Amino acid sequence: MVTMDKDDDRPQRLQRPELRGDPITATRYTSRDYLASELDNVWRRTWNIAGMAYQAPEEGDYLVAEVGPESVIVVRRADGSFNGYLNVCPHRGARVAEGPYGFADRFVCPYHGWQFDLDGRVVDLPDPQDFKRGNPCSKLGLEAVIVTELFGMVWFNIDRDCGSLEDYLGATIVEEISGYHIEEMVRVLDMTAETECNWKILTDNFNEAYHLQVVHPQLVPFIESQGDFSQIDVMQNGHNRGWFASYQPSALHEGPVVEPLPSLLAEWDVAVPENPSSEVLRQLRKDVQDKKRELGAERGFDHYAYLKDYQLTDYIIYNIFPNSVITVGPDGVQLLRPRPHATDPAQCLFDHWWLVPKIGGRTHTPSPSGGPDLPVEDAEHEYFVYGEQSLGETADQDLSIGALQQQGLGSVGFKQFYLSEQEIRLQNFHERLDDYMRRDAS
Amino acid sequence: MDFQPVLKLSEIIENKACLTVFEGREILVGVTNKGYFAIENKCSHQGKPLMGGRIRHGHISCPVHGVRFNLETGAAVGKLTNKPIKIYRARANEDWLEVCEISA
Repeated sequence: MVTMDKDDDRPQRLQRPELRGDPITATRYTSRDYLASELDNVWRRTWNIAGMAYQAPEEGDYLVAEVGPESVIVVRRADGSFNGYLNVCPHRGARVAEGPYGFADRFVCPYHGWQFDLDGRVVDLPDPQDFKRGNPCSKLGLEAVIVTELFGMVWFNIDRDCGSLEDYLGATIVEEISGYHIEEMVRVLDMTAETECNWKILTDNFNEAYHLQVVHPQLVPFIESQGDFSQIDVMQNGHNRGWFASYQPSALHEGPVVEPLPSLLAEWDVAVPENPSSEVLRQLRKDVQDKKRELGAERGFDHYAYLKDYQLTDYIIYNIFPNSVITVGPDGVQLLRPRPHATDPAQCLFDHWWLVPKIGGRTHTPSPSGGPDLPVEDAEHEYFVYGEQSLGETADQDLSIGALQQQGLGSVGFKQFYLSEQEIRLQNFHERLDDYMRRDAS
Repeated sequence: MDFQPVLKLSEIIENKACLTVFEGREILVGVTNKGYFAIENKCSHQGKPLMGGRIRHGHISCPVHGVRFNLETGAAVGKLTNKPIKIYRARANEDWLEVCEISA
């Protein structure tokens, strides 16, 4: 059950798990052996997102998700639930379905025409009498994976002995993200970029806001990244959360108020007074929260009724182990997700999604990082090499460090990370990674 | 080549393909939010009929292996084939959907 905090101005601070101080060295970013072991110990044992449930509305609609060398099919069944299978024909190993989505009454292997029903069983094939070991029908099938729907997303875990997704995430993450009702949103941006770095370089980047003042200076005038109006919490199972107040300048911001803050405030009829003190500037965010409560419904922002005061203005990042980074803001949700390459530790695929609530009468919505407005309709997937096309200004800036750091980590000159307190989420992530790699993560 | 009526518009539902015949060949016709379409009823991947394939995002997906084809251009999406399917010009004229060959 969701309980309203007495203090509705920030997320409740969480008890910090004990951290061991494991050294974080370069091997995990550069070694092929490490990646091979990571695929077994981490990727085949943790929860990942296959896609949005609304993409597969009817029986037989399916999504295909790829993680490293694995490909997983999730398919909608007649009762509305999803089944999941490894996308591998039990005959000679061909992929049976192609992504990112499609539909099938039966899956039909493109190689020899084996047919599988939506329960994964072989139900027909050419020349069934020709198999001395017995007719494959009713004997063989696609290998099942565990599938759960949560936050309007379809999640899967290849480990059939995994516990529930809800236990894996913990009550705080489940309750807080559920409060945004992502299942009522539409994905208006869906991009994947091939990127020249290990996937962890990008999850590390999303596990700290220390880089923000250097890499994303455009955010400093209206988003907090450190100090009193931010908070980082490390959580169980290697997950983390960061809270960053907005609609006010960062404590790092110097000089007069600059755009886009006055425009953001003006949207909610809040003006910046002349020569404001820092206390006055802090009050602007509260004024916006009040205005959003007062005017939100009549302006079509029905979803504000779900949100707590701080959620009306602020950004919260949920770093879900290993790689599902979900950033929530008052008017939309981002997925920032690197996926491992099948064999090369120096490459990954980076997914960027932007999901928005349907706001009465609006046909377009601002892009997450300053590009042209996007139509409020389900976006077609775009796939490209990083640098060929923009992922959005902020995401481009994040990925700009990828190859730089990957190259540096390959040098004998690098020993181990030397982390600040505001990078503590990285330490939590890497210690959980170490647990999985030793196979003692429960 | 002239447009020929192939189907009453009243029989067309958005994002559903209807099977009909044009110049002796099976074709699929229908309408999406991008307009009317007419395509040959044959997947370029393994030659199976496209009839029954679901239409989303202006593409029809083959009911056998899921290869998707752009209904405006005929272009294939994905790794199974890059061979396009044949498309026709389609338009509404009074009560009828009309189809015509695309001249080279």
